[in-house]
Amino acid sequence: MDADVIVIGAGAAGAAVSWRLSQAQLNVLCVEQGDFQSATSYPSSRSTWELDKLSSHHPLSSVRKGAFDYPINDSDSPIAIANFNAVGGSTILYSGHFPRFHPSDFRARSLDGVADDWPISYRDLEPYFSLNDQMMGVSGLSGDPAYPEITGLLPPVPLGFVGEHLAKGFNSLGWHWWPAYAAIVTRPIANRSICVNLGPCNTGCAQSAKSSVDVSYWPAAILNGVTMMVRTRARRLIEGDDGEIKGVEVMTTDGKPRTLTSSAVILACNGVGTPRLLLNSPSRKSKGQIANSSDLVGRNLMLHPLGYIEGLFEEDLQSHLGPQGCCILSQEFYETSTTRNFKRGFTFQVLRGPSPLETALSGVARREIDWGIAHHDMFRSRFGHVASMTAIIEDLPERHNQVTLDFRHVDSAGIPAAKITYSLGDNSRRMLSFALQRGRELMSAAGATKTYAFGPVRETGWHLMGTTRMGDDPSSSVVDRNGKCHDVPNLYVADSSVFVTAGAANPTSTLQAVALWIADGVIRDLRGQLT
Amino acid sequence: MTFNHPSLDAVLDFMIPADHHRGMPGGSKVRIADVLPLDVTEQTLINLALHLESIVNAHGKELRFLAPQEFWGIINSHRQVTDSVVRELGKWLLMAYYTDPRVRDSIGVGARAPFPNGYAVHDGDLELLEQVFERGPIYRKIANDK
Repeated sequence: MDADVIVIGAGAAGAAVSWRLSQAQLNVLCVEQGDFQSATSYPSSRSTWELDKLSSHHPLSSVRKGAFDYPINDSDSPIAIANFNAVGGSTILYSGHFPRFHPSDFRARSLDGVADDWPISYRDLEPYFSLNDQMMGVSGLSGDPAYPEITGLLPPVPLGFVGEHLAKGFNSLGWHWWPAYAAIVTRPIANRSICVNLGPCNTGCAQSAKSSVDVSYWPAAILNGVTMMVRTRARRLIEGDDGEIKGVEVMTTDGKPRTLTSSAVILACNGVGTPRLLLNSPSRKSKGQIANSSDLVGRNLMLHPLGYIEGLFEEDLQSHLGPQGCCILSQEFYETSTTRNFKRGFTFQVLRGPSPLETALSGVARREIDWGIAHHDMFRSRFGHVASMTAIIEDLPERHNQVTLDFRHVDSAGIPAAKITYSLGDNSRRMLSFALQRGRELMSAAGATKTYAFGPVRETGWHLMGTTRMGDDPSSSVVDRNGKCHDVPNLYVADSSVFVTAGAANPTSTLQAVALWIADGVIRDLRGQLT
Repeated sequence: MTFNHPSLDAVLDFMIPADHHRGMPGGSKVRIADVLPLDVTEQTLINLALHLESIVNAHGKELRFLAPQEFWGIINSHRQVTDSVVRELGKWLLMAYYTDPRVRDSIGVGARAPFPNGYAVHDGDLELLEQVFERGPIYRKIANDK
């Protein structure tokens, strides 16, 4: 055997689960198609960082065309799929906005009559949320009335003039707001450097103050003995005669195939990569593919449609400064209200404001900035004066929103691409429309002289959830409450594919808490087998 | 590198004129070639500029003798054909212009990389949270949450 456990994927979930298993002295091998990243190579170490954001560090693999990326056909979706393939996964490029799901997110069917309840609860995950916050390094402020008590946070990132301005707007409307929960280190911990406000967190943090998992979990996991096998694509899972996984066929970047074996396999490839691997893995036992007797692998894809709202202010808010994506949030409309024409809710995430090049590109495209003599004055009236915010819309699980395979496109190892079929449901559309109106109302209340809003925003499909959902009933779910596949006793899923609902919060905090919960189940299972 | 093609340079300066008072160069003085992907060449941009010049010429005018308002008057009167040309040329110009050290200095972000020094950001007044806090819990508590 190559290891007790093979973990596929070294992103947010793979890092957390590998570390937890290694703490229990299990022999862990992590397979990752990307490579280690060097913080000093990130765009913010160059004055031309904005150009890299449009190319080598673009959120879409179809634009980036990195050597370790894989093709995703999202032409049948209004939302394009964003990801990053590396040790650290998409946390390399995420903004680090780190709110948790709410207790009600785990009880959507009982409370609101939509979607389904999770088989686990917020209470089950609470110790794992706390453990994850410690491991990652999370800043924020205790006492938020939108959550049960959250403690152990580092001091919040600065509000900036933009956050303070919008906070006054929220106050004038009597709406909730709170400093962002940010996976950003604001006080020294674990030899990490603290945030100095480089700005473009979403191109990678050259300071290593943003808590991507390559600088939080992975150093500890590797110290514990986890073996990393990078630049290696998992091609398919191999089913044994007994229905268990007997191996993982991988392809290294030099084109050499190899079969790896272990007692258990954990998939942590995100809500697109995990179903893609399962759908590429034939089974005699299930309906064609491993773990798919329910026909639910790839279905119920949830993406969090995003609304974008901005306000133009006469005052210079210096909105281009500070961690982009982490400022303040509002969960005034998070919980279901009978006074609205939709169920569930959304979070307002204040982003701060656009960079110089973004200001120019969007201003010219929207004819807010002219060419010619007026160009400079019009640019200066917008740069630093625009406050921007997103509305993170909870989309409900729907069977027809799904990941399938596209056999016309393959990656460098010849593995068929993922195909996305997704549309917004009526509930999401109504919620998005409401959120855009409320967002403009907020901007006006804060003093904006002009507001602008649209959605869904296309290039924002970072939150990939629901495609191997968790449940107690094998006919309506792919994995059980411990992440174990109903069909395959030694195969687990530990990423946001297992989410039953999407909540209305950025999913990384919750998916890592779930990954740690699942790791403990794997440890319990394997302790019996290995002793 | 900058280009040295009179038609292209003229068009780029019409798009973003120099503002010497603020130390802002004209559009023809920034290094567009540095931002072009492999499939877009200098000749691609020259062809776009020549296309705009041909429209100006069709009005019996010459690019080099035009005032900026006159140039934009002609170009905007043919938006159906000029919009896509201006958009394509403009994309590369903006990318080069707003990453130019002189421009970044002038708009106040500095010609340097963000790392390692970062930027000072106003902390903000957390006392503004008082009224949010006083409102009490707004999340739904779950009965019998095990």
